[in-house]
Amino acid sequence: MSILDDIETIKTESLKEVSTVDNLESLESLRLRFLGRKDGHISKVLQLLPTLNPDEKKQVGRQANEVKRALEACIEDKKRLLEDASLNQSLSQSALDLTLPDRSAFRGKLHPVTQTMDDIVSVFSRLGFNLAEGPEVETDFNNFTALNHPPDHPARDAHDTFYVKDLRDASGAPFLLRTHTSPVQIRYMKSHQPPLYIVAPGRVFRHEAVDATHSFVFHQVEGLAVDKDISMADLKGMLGLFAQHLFGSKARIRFRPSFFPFVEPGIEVDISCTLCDQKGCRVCKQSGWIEMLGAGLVHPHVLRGVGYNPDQVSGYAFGIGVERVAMFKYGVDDMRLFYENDIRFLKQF
Amino acid sequence: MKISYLWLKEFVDFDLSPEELCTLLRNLGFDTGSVETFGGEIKNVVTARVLSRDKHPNADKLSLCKVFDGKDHFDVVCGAPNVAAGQVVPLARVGALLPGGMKIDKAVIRGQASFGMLCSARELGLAEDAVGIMVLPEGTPLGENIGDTLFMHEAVLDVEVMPNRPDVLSHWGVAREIAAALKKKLRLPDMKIPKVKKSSGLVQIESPILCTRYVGRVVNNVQVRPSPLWMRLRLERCGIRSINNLVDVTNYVLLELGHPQHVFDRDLLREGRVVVRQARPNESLLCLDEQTRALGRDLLIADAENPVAIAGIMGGELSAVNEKTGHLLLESAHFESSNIRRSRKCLNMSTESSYRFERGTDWTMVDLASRRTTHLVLSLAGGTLTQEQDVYLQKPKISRVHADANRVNGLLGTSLPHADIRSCLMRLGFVCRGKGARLTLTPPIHRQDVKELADVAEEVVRLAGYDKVPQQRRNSTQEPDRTSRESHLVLKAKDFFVGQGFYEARNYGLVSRKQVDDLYADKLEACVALENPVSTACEFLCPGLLAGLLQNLQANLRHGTEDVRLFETARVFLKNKLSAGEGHTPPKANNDISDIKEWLSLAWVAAGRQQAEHWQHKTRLLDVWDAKSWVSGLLREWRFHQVKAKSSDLPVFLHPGEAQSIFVRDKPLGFFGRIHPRQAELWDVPKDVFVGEVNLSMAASLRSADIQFQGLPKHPAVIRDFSMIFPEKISWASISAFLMQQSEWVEDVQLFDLFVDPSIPSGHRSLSFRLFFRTPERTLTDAEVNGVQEKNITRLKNEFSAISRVGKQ
Repeated sequence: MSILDDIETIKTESLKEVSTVDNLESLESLRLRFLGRKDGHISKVLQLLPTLNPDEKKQVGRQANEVKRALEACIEDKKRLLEDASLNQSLSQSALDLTLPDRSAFRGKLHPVTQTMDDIVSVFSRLGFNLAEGPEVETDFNNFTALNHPPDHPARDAHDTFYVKDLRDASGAPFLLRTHTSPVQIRYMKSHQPPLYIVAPGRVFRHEAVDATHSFVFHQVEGLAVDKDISMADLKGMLGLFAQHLFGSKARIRFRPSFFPFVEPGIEVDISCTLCDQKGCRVCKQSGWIEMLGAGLVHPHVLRGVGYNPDQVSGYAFGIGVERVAMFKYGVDDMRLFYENDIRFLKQF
Repeated sequence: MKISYLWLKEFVDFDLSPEELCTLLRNLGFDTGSVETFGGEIKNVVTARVLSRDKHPNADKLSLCKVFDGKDHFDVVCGAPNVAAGQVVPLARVGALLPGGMKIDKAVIRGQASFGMLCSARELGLAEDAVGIMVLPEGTPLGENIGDTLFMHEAVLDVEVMPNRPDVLSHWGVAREIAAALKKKLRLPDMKIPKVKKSSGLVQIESPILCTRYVGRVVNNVQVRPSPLWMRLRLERCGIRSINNLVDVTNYVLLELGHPQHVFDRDLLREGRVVVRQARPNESLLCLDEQTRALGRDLLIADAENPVAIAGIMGGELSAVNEKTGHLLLESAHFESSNIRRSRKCLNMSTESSYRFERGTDWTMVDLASRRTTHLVLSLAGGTLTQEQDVYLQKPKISRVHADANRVNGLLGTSLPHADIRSCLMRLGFVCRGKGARLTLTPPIHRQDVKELADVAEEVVRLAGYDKVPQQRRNSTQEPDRTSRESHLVLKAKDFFVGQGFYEARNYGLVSRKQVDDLYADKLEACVALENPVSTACEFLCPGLLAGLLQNLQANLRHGTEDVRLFETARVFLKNKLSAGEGHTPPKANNDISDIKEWLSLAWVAAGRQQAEHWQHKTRLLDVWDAKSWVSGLLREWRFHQVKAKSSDLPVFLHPGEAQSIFVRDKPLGFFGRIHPRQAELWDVPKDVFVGEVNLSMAASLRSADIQFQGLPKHPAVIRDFSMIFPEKISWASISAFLMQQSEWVEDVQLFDLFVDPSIPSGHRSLSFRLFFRTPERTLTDAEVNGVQEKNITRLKNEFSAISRVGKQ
């Protein structure tokens, strides 16, 4: 057997042994056995070199050094592997019970009415509507007359109104708390020229008895678009898009004739009940539809009143009851909960 | 409005079930809520006559009756005390089925065989509270299936009619809509009356503007008695109580044709005639509801001397029909709508009659309704029509409407053929002239609400159906606005407070007098009161948000929530100073609201612990330093740097030693602090409640600092810690401001310790602070910094009478 064969055997055996070693001590003794400076198998081979002829010397020397380097690298790799394993083992032995409670800081929530109102406004904002606002104390003119509710008209009966004591406007009528966000339409149209596309969110007041579905304070988002050739089809397209953004891509809308003095034609808009997929449920009273908002084309009287010519521009308007949307979306069955500000309620949204 | 399904069928033929009819009406714009059904499934119950009534031999309260249904005789045991020979009654024969599934079998009752049962109205499902056997009107044919006689299987629909459609406030009106929608013919009810000569002295109109037409008819020798069953049932199912045949007839015609009428006992009218006039000074009327009303300028019906009715609203008690009435004057008139509304609002009353008149009634219906009433009076109360007078002062003006079919399509976004548009309008009674797209329309007299293109478009789409309107996508063409500074600050504030553990509250914005007294007594004069509050809890517009929030806080604590942090942004209100004092000029324009100052406020309340309890360490209750950090955090969010805080100008509800008012650019922005212990008692909350409120609108009007990038320092800061003892009255703010001014190298001063103990002279406290020295050009040397530091110490000693402690390097 030649020395070269011995070297080859050393290589095969040593590498095989490294691969099966499973602790650092055995690895070290293995290293000493093969690579030990005096007694290691490789050292012993190298010690034979002076006895060989120059050709053999060169060949054996090269071969032995190659095996030595390969084995050293292999042992080093194995060492790191074994060290990591032992570190990880000791780390996992000291693991904490992470099911223990964390140190959570208090964090609040926005009111569900705010969240719903923001959702509604953001749909229209993305569609290019600007935000408008108006005061909560209004004049009779802006709240009613300019919106085609003439004095002594029975349409006013639909709005039970809070009046301010002692303070009166230019016409002698007492100031009032706005009964809808629609006066913002008047203020905005008087200070702007078409085309205009706005949404006006806000708080409104009705002198009504409070129960599970009525409140004397609630919120609306008013929408108004005035432009050349605005049609009912534009309104239907916009509200259809709104319904899908807010209630999901399956949501559909339906128009029904209705009456609001400041629009003509006036409509009531129903949204398909997304809770039961229109199969009929308690919320939609088995009808498959939820009455969601009032809308229509801006009445020519209103347009003329702000100095627009109804032969040149037309418009649509809509008013969305925010609480109604929130009640439907979150399944809240009592409107009073929105105003009790009970944290057990508020934290659910 | 209650609408009877069977009544509608008298005017128009249709094959819809009550539910399908609801859908049709809803699609026409009349929201129809509930359907109430009467009668239900009844079998083998017929009309029968009681031939005799004998006492039951074995029971005191029972009787033995022999009844005859026109064909067979039956022995029936009956328990009702009111049964009597001669009556026509409902007989449930053996095998009969009653509503609710009750089945009638042959029975032996106390030894006597009974072949059926005599029924009460309750057993037939006609009334809830009827006692005794139902006695049918004399003349009812025998052996008739009771289902036909009593309008069994009736359905009553609750139809909502919007104020613009008074023409639909009747069965006739609803039937007219159904006929138009289904392309059916309409039938008028029977209104035949004998011809009589026209009179002239019966009616006189002195207020021709307020009353344009009055038809009077006189019927003599009537008999007042209860109405027949069919009429009573119809009235009751539609929500009107039956009184007697005369009053019932006017109510019946009201429900049928929608025209309110009145019937006078003519013998109780002085000179037997009426005058339509406005009330004179000091006139009053005892009304049918037994209340005497003082009259102002109200329109009246008077006899030759005194008021006998408030026109279109309510009749007078003293001229009303009663059991003794023999001769009638029937009134049917047209009254001006807004005057009726003013009157009934002044008088604070509302009747079926005023409801219709104030919405507007049909001019042509005045005489038709009178004829129908007269016809029914003659057939139900007998008597003779002797006189009639129709005072018709002013024929209604009917204006034509010019529209264009293309523009109708344009408004609707539809492409309906012109012929379809015409057809819709003609079915609704419009006369359509004009060629091609041009429409010259004459609306029917009851549709005076249709005045221009938009109204025409509505009528067309109502009949054509909204499903014809496509969904069209059209984007905004308006230039986008910039976000307003106010909404920007609101957004920042909301983010900030939510991050600090606050829940957003929303309150009504209305407060009670007591709450004003508790929190805002100094502003009482300036608070805006409501004329008609819903309750004393909501008398004033809130001048600040804390009343609502403190109330919420108390409720939450009561419900067991320990840590309560709430904030709110909402509008608050005060009278403008100008309007309170003398020399006030009232607002100039009809949209001017400058008398009332309205602004957006932001407020918060907090109670409970600083942080949730954790198993590793204890937490603590909130204190004023937490309250201060919320204010300073908020103002940093809003990028206000020049903030001043004062312990003066505080609202009275704050703890005077633990609260501050906040000024930005010398404007009073708001306040924060602990509530006054007295307030804690008033609101029933703990003493450790912290509140704050700022004027958000004012904040939005103030410029906040622009963001200006500063290069990052290239050289390290040199840090010096030291402690000194200061008299307690020297504020930290004055010390830190002083130190910052001493050298341009001082970059920051931080307090890291404060204590008082016996080693320190009384009235003093020890403050330890850290100074950061830096200059952009180079690293400062120890010697340089020590020089400044020594000067600092000397100056603090001189300026504040500070005493040195051991300095730390």
